[in-house]
Amino acid sequence: MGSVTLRRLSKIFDGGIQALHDLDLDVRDGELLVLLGPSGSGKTTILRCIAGLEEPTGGDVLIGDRVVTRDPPRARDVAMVFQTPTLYPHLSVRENIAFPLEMRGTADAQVTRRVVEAATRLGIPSVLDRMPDTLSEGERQRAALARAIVRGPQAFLFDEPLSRLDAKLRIELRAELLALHRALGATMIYVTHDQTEAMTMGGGAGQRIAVLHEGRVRQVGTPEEIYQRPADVHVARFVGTPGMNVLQGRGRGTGEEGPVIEAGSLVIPVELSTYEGELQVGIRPEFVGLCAVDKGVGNVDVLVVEPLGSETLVHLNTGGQALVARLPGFADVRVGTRVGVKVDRRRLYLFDAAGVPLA
Amino acid sequence: MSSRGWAAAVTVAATIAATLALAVVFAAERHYERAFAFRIAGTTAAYVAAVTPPPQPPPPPPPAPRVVRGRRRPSIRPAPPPPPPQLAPLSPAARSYDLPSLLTQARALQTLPGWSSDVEVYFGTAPLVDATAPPLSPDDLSYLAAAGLWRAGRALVPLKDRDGQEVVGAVAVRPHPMPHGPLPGGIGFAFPAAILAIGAAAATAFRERSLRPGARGGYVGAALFLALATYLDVRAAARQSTDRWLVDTRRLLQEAATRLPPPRVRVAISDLAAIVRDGEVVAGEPADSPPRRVRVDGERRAVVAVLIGSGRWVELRSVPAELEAPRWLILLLPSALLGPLAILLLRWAERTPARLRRETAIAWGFLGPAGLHLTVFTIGPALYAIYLATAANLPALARDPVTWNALRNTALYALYVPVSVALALVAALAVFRYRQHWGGRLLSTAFVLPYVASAVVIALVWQAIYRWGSFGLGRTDWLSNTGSALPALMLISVWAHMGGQMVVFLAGLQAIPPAYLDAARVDGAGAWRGFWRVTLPLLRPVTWFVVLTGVLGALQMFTLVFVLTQGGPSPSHATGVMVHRIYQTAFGQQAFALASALAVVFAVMLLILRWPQLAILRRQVRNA
Amino acid sequence: MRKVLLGVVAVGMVAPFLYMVSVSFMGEGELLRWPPPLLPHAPTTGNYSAMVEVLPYARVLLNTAILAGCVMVGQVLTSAAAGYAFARLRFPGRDGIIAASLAILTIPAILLLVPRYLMIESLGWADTYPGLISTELVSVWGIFLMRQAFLMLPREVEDAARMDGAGEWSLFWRVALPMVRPAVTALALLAFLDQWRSFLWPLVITRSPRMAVADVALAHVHTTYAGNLPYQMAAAVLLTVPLLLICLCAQRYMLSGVRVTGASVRL
Ligand SMILES: Nc1ncnc2c1ncn2[C@@H]1O[C@H](COP(=O)(O)OP(=O)(O)OP(=O)(O)O)[C@@H](O)[C@H]1O
Ligand SMILES: [Mg+2]
Repeated sequence: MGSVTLRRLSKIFDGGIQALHDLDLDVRDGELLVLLGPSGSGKTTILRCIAGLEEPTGGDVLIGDRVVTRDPPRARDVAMVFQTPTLYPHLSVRENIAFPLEMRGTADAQVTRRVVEAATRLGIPSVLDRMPDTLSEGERQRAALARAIVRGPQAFLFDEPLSRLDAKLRIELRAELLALHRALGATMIYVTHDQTEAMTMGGGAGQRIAVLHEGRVRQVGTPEEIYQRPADVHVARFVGTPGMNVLQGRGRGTGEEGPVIEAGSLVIPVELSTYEGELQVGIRPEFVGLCAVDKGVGNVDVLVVEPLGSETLVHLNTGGQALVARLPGFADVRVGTRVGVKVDRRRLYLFDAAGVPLA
Repeated sequence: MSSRGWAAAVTVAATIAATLALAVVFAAERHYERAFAFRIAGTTAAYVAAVTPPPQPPPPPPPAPRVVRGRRRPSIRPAPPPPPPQLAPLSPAARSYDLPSLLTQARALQTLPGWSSDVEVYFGTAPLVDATAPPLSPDDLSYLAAAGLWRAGRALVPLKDRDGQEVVGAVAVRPHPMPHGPLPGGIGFAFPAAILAIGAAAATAFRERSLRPGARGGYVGAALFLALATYLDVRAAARQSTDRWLVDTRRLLQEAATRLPPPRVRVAISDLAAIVRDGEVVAGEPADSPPRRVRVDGERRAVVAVLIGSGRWVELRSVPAELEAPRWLILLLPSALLGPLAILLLRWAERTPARLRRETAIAWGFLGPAGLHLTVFTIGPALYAIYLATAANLPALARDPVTWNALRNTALYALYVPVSVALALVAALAVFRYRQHWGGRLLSTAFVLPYVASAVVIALVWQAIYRWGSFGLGRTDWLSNTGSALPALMLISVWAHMGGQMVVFLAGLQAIPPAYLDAARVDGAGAWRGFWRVTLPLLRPVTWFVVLTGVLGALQMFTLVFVLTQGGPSPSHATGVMVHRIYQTAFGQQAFALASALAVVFAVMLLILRWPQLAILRRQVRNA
Repeated sequence: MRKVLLGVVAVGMVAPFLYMVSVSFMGEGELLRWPPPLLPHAPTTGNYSAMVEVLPYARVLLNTAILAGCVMVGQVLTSAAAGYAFARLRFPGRDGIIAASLAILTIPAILLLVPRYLMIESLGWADTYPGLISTELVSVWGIFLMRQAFLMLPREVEDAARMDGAGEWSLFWRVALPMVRPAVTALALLAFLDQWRSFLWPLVITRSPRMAVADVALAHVHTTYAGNLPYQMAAAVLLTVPLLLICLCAQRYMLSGVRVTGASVRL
């Protein structure tokens, strides 16, 4: 009953910007689905369409098995938590949390009880009578969360609720949100552009991540699935820190050393019998190695070196295309030098020109 | 919306529109019937007054009204209330009427051939024509002194005594219903047109299932046709009300010619004209009997020829009521067009997403009160002012030196603004500099006091101060002196307006981030340079705002002049400013058209200054 | 030294008012001497007791308060509603209507004086409260002030309220309006003060002393007792004191009012 289904949802804004393209998504009852996508990919738009704050241009939104596409927000029974903690500045925390109950005409006695309950669950019963502008950022977001859970809606929509908090608080609240999900067993859609957060939030048993790119859902799956078997080049590029290297190249079946892909200054031998012409080749940074000049599949220029302690990211330029290598520990690479590149041929991902994986 | 529902909506809208238009026609017909009734009642009252002689001197007892009561006695009705006080002061006998003759004259009215109404004459509250009718209520009678009354389908007008001073009775007229239709047999255009319009709308809607633009045009056409048809009916009713009056008054005039006391051979036209106060009676030619429309000195008149005595003709003229019938279009056009309008609205609603539709409805709900008020109390009056102004003699206005003088004074007076603004800026800087100190706070309070006080109080205070200006030499004080009066007012204004301007400057100063001045100081600028190079340029928008607002306020100054100088010292009009002149023209000379013309001209001049101010506001509106 | 100068200037600014108070305690003949005395020779409160009767004080204060109070409430409500629609609702023709409202701001009061008078007169409202009040109930300037305030509200708060189940009315009345309290206070205060000191319209539309508002009554005293300055000054003091008291009570809001409206153009 608490499932959320989007059917061929599309949204074109007044300026003619199409934010969503015929999007299908199925969130099961009680599931925590993480919606991951780069900035501007339409995550917020999806949530607003589900919430009823935005009217879709086409397609349908179903909550449970009821079509709610044209219903106003209050007829939908979903709660939403926004990126910026939005408390009503003129109401105390208690009144803030009570607001949704009052709007639904809940009896006073019940309101008092449920407000305290929700506040306790989020660990803020002590600030109930303070005004929002006297609260810390974390308390404020907790109060906003309490306001969302207080009326026990069918589904929760979280729009990057933690992005404004500092790192420590973020980790703390993330864990609390997971606990909340377990305790309430409600359907939740959690939006983030931070894939570390996506992996943590979506990492539980039976949880999934949906990757969004330019208004389309590219892949829905477990963290492992989307990392190991990206459904297209966009997912590959976006997932991982840093994301997968994707080079534009050409497949040639008749190189001197057998079939090869020429990409930038690299010539990578592959088992490629079926494809000739334009394609894209992807390789994760951890499978890119450096070696002496002319010893690898090609030579590249070192642009930037980022020593991070446990690993070093080396940004390379191969014939005008960017390539990142991730080396363990501190690597002895100088900026401006020319080095050779090794790749793990078994870890290559091949996509056609349109970005669809080649079998 | 389903197509069937759609078609039904179209039909309902068309029906409502047609019904409304018919209701307006009905109301207009009633209006003109009443107008006719009041008019003929007035004429009848004048006629009765003219043909009834004063009471015969001898027979004092019983007093006149007793006769009436005596006649009432056989009636089966309960005894009438004791004689109302109106009956008592009949004693100034010469002014009143001879009751028996009045009775005769009144009864004779009922027998007039071709007379299209029932008439009753009351003497005091007692009916004369139909003695068994209920008497007039004393309340109504006393009210009649002020205005006519509509009671139970009858127009009641006062019957004055012979010299037109006191109300001694009333004349009541109940018009016979008459068909108004312009078509033979009294058929109106409106009803068939309404049926046609509804039918056309319904037929189109049910056939087309949704209104294509072409069909919509047809529907608008049908509505316009309805408007035209209803207008023709209204016009016919107006015309008929004039015609009825002409015809009935002709009968009265013919009667009057034979009955006017004392009997004479030839009745004077002026005697007849006295009866017809809201029309003209002139010597005329023999002519056909129905009323005609002619032009007299370029003006439209409704006329009818009246034969009085053997071979003697006069012409009875009146302003035709249909001349002002077009004003009914204000009601007729919208109600007829309501149909297409509703359809357009429905059509828009059908095509618009539910959310936008809802929001639009809500927005209009929120805008409603303000919008209605602005339409009624601002836009309407502004248009009315322009309309009034068209009646004024503009060339004469342009030649009037007093007007030019007022303009010059207004402009001169506004010259105080730069002075007060400069002083206000200095004051604001001082207060800002010492804002933590008692001196600064005291200063700001002192400056704000005149800003808070009302203009009349300020005027009175300074009037007291200017007494000192006469130096005790018995000379006139500054306000009574042609040369010094305007500067004296300007001085008051500088003092009074500095405070408000200072407050705005203070807000502007507080809005300047201290970092700017700090940066200037780091760059080595002293306090003076900092002011010229940083503070003043940053305050420029505020300064503009203060100056513009100040000048606009100064140009519309009224109170000081009204209280202190009345535009004088006369006769030089040394302090006559525009607003005061407009006020004087309107409420002193009661020349509303001229005042409106002055106001319109002045408003246009102000507009030139308003423009930059509005530009500032528009920028704000857009930026936000 | 400079601070003393500030004090001197301050006293100079207030001097006319001090003189007003001083004269209001003088006997009628005192001012006929030359030079006119600065301070009353034999202070008397007789002028005040006379003026309380003549004005009549209580009635005048009541009239003024009714006018200012009704207009304040009317302007705040209509401006808030219309400003909200302009700022936060989308509907076809909105920009056109906003432009038209701006155009209305260019109409000076003097243009409306005669037609409004004729209108109220023909409605039979002359010399009545409805006639006095009705024309002032809406202020375009107030609408734009409120619009500006509503525009500042973050969209998230509106969205959050919708999610919490607020309808359009609750959204306006329980969320948006309380959030623009400073603007509402500023508008209310300015409307009140403006009307308390309004002169021309009450002068035109009221006739009987029974209906006079403060300034009209004062002007009347001025013409009736043209030679008696102490009377006039006493009446002026009597009618200024309530205004001062109101301003004192509202001082805090006045400052915030200047802050809110300082950025906005007052036409
Ligand atoms: N009200 C609007 N009018 C016009 N375009 C809009 C509107 N809201 C969003 N967009 C556009 O729609 C696209 C998707 O926006 P959306 O806010 O859904 O992205 P997002 O994935 O939430 O991004 P972020 O992570 O930065 O919040 C963007 O290109 C954005 O510019
Ligand atoms: Mg977003």
